[in-house]
Amino acid sequence: MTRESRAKWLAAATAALVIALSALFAALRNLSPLPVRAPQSAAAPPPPAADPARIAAGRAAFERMNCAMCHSIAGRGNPSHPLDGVGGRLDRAQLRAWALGEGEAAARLGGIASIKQRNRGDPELDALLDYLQQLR
Amino acid sequence: MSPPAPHPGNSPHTTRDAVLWLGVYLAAVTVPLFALLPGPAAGRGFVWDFAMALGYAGLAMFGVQFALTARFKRATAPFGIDIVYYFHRYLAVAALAVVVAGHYGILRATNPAALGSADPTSAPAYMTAGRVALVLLALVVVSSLARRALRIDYDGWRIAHAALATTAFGAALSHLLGAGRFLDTAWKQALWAAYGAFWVLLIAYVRVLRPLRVARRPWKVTDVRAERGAVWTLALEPAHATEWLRFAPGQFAWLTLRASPFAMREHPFSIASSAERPRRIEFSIKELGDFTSTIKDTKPGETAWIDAPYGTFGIDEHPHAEGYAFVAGGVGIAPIMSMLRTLADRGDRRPLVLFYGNRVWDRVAFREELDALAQRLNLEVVHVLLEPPADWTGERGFVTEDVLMRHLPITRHRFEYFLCGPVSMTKSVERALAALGVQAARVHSEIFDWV
Repeated sequence: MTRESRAKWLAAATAALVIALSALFAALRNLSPLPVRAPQSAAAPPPPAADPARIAAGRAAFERMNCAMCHSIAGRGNPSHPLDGVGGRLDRAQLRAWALGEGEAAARLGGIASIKQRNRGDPELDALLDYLQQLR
Repeated sequence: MSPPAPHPGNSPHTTRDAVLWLGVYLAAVTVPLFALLPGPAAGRGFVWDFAMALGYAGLAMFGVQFALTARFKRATAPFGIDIVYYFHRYLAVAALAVVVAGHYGILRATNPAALGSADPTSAPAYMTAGRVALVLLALVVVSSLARRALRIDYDGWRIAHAALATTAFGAALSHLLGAGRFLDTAWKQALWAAYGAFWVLLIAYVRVLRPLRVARRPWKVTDVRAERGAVWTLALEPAHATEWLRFAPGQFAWLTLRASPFAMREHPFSIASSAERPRRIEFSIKELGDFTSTIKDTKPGETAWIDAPYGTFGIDEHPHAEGYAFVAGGVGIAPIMSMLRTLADRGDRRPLVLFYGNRVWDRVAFREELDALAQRLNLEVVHVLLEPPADWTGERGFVTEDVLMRHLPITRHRFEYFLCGPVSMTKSVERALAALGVQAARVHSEIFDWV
């Protein structure tokens, strides 16, 4: 075997090991299944009657604001911060604070708060909150 | 005159060291990843976490790329620096695949919403940094693999390569620190910030500290002589009388002429002179490219800088052989001249055979000196000419199995073989030697165009 092809095989084997170790890392992190969040129905009032047009507008706003970069709904988007059932955990004022990076939420969001604050005054903000509120 | 350089032999340590350094590589790439495992955060699903792990690992692989070409002698010695440079090249392709097809590709395919908008005016800066890094890394890899095809000048490419790679790495690191959802505690952030800082310091070492060390030991050009076949021999002596260069015959140096050692205008050349004469070193350089064509214009008294010695190609790696055989093609004779001159200076009496392939007789560099060396050494020189003169009685054509068979002694299985020349020649001679029953471990070749 020439020195060049020896180096080629060495590199391929090394890369395969790195990929295998990355898969091992992912497998180890997922040994226990995702925790299921219990809905905290006590915090929130019953859902308002859903207006399908407003919900659709809210979902469109969710996509336009690139919320899925950090949040997932029904497995779509970044699974680090799932919003499934968020309407049962937070009331409308809390949802608003988290969506806009205000108040206590701002402190916990850190640098992300400034990105969220760009959405202040968005005309579809209420539709977005309606959409989030009906996620039970 | 000083004693010959103490040199790591081909002891069992070499294999052990090679395994050790591969382990160091894997650890450098994956330990920072596994350090992220403990902690409160739960898994996000295998596919997502796999894509993220490939992002971290890919960045670490690109970080190690800087270390591979930092010319750390202890890490490169067990492999040979040419292999390390090839390793650097192929790993770059692998690392690019890991980040483009793995990290980005898996997300794009399975969860495109999580990538958000690519518009830099609305996307967060760390996401734009990630996209910039992908594009720059692809540019670095393509411009390197296709440098010759794209006719990119070597000196310009080296500067662009270093600048682009450093910028890409910085962008990738800021993407990771900004997007790093796994970095959920202060100590994890500190760990990865320190890891990034380590690579930045490494770059500073390569671009500033090492050139500084080279700059502190200037050499003077003392002679420029024409050899046959458009080869020019450049002789250098240390500017300070107390200096010398310890090297093993067959090793090479990075040479800088008419430029600052910081300018990244260095070129690798084999040392052609005897290792027993460390106060005067010579390079024999054929006019082939932009830089090599300017060697003849060098004037005695000019300052030169050398970063040396490097490489594991040479007889001192295999000091106990019963004899040595050399196969040179054209200017590939340079490191072999160093070995023959060194053996002559040491009064070595072991049997030696040199197969020396050239096109025409008038352009056979060092042919008169080789006649003289054959008198001082137990050396047979076999000239193999592609276009021999009418009255030629020697070997003709290429260095084939038949040619080798006719001149190698019956004890050829206990010889060590050194091949230097065009890739086509070294490959065919490697095959011929294998057919003659010579173990591959006894055949050593120097790759000429690995940069």
